[in-house]
Amino acid sequence: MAKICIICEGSYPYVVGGVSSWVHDLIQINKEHEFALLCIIPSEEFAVEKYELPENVREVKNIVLNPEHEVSTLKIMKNNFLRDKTLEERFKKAMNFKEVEPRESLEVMDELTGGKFGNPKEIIVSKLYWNSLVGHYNSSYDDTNYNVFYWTHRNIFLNLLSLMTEEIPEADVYHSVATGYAGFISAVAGQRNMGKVLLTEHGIYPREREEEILGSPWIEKNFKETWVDFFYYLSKLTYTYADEIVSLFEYNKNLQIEYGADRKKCTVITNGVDIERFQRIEKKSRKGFNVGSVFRVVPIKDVKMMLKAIKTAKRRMKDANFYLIGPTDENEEYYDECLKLMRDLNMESYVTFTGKSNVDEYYEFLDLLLLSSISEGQPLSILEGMASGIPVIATDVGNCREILIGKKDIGEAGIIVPPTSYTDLAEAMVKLYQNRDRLKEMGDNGIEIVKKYYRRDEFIRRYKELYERLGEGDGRNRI
Amino acid sequence: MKKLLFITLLIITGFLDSILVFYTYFDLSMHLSKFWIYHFLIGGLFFLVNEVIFKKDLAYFDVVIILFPVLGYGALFFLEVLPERESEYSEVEESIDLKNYIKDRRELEYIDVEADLGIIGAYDSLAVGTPMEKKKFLMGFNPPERSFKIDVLKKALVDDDLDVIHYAATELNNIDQGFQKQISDLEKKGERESLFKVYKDYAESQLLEGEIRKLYQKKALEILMVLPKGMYILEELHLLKDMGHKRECQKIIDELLKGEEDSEIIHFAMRFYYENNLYEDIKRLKERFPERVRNLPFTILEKDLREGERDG
Repeated sequence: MAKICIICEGSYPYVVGGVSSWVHDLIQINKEHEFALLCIIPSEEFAVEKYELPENVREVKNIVLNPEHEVSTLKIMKNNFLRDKTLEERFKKAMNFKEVEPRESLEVMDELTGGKFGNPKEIIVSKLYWNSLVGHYNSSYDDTNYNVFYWTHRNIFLNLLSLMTEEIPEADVYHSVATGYAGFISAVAGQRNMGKVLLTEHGIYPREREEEILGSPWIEKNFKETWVDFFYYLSKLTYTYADEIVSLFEYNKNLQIEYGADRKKCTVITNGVDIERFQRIEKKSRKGFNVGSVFRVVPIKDVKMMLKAIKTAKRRMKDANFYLIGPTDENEEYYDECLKLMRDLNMESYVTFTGKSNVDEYYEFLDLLLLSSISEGQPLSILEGMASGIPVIATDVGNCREILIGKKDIGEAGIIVPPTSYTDLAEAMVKLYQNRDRLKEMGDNGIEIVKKYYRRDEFIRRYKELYERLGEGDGRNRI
Repeated sequence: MKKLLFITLLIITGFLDSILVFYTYFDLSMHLSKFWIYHFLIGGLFFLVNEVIFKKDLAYFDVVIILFPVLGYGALFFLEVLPERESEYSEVEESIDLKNYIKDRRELEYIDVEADLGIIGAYDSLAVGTPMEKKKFLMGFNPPERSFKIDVLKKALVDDDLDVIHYAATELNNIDQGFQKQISDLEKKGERESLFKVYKDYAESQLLEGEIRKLYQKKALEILMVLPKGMYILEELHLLKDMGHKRECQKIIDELLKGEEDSEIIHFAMRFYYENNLYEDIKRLKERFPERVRNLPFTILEKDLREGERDG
């Protein structure tokens, strides 16, 4: 039995979603191990559990970003007398996220937070920090606004130094489910030889942040690059200290390697579906042509695009009914907007938002499954649909292309359309509606694809093997 | 005897066909489609009489005979008449295309400016670049014309690389969400005039197609009905035209042309007539407002300049 510390950022157990469900499932299937949860959250109010924690979770620790620190004037004055030119120079180097060696930067921060300079805020207001920062400014940023430069770096380093001073639960394996701040903590654990480090990435963290940053009007143009470099640095740091790096599919594995991961550490473990469970579902025919989609009603699922597609296709699918299956309470404002769009388009008679439901009841009679997301990793909803013999039309996001049309040895299990394009989604729906033979063929292919490539028993076996291997012996205190 | 009758019949047919060709030649309002209908009626008559009276089967010879004069006159028609008609239309086309030209010019100017920043090479990269180059280009691509941006993002949606697709989709979704949010806020506030403008912009943004686009056009039109009459008359005309309500559009144009001269309305009318092949109406409009029509391109340029200054 090993003790695994799962490190999450803004997800399990406080947010319902793909990653959270995955973590929940992983803990449940590894009953022989003990788990600690280390959750990085934006505020204390965020910490409202949405999942009932499994019995083998022994500890939950929350770390709030941007914490408050008391500052001692005496300490600041004392810090002013502490001069260390070498450390100053090393810290200056650590501020250059693009070029710094991850190990070097972590060592400098570890040294700074060792106690000599006080708490993170006292470090930030120290002469050493100031001199390093001014040096970095003069060498790389001297044509920018110093005020913004100062606050940007203060924000970044105050968080990093604070994270370094947090107490990390003892464990044999530190399993981070993203890079970012969660990855940073796992790297700190690795650097301190507290245990083995395992990283599973569902998406690619810096890419997601990059989009947010570039689309944020409140971040000054000159400093967008700083933030982007910072998040790529966090990934590189995590990759450096990780003993094993897991991704859900090949494309992401290649991105990890491109962003600095060692190819030898990288492996792919796909999500898995209990094929027997879905095969047991008894098919019942229902009047008309029945189309469904399983999702949380949130903007990233682009539900409005799906509604527009349904409206466009319905004219040529007279007897079709549409079931939008899943919880609607996560973003009620968005749900209301969807309802309004549905009313505006006069679709109430053939579109149903079911709310949180037992999806198996719908898999009994659905003829076709849709996915209209603008971002996904490896969506379980389409794997489950395929396991039930339902063909899928999905947007070209995440691993959908590979799942639906990439398994050449078996055949296609659905159609891929460009994200946000409701006309293409509508066309694809009509195409399958008019060709029932193809629909049947795709449904059969879906079952075969899941049987061969996305088996839950295989997913369980691979993680059990990983935990056993990484957790064996005394993971702690390894040298 | 029969031979004489046959030749007479051939001459009569050829004569009728020639009249038809000449009529088409001199009356510019005669549609080409009508010419073909009458020509084939005459031809049909010739074949029928040939069959009934002379008991002769149709032969290639007969077909060549009936087609021969028409081919000759037809060649003359294409050489002489169409260029004349083209020249009439070209004036209309000149002013119609001007707006498109200005739009293209603005896009080019944007790309020219961005060339200094090294984005011009990246613009080409959308077709041939690496995924990283494409993504970099899309991130820095922010032209003043939103529809231009949407066009480019839509192209990126069908790229081979998932990253490029993802970024384009996110951007398109952001733009769409922006419209939706504006609509939602304005609906709550009940600001009809602003709401009309957003509906109109949304419908024209290239984000919407088919029935969904029509829905927002309809919503915009519904608001216009409750705003003071004539406040956005040109926008109303554009909406009606885009939605295919030709009759209503024509009715409003007729009413407006009775009133004060307005170069925008005249321009719209010309375009409407041109697109619907209403040649007589174009002629009438040119006769009635010769100066206005002649100066139309300059008026459009001036208006664009004013709008440019205001936007700048």
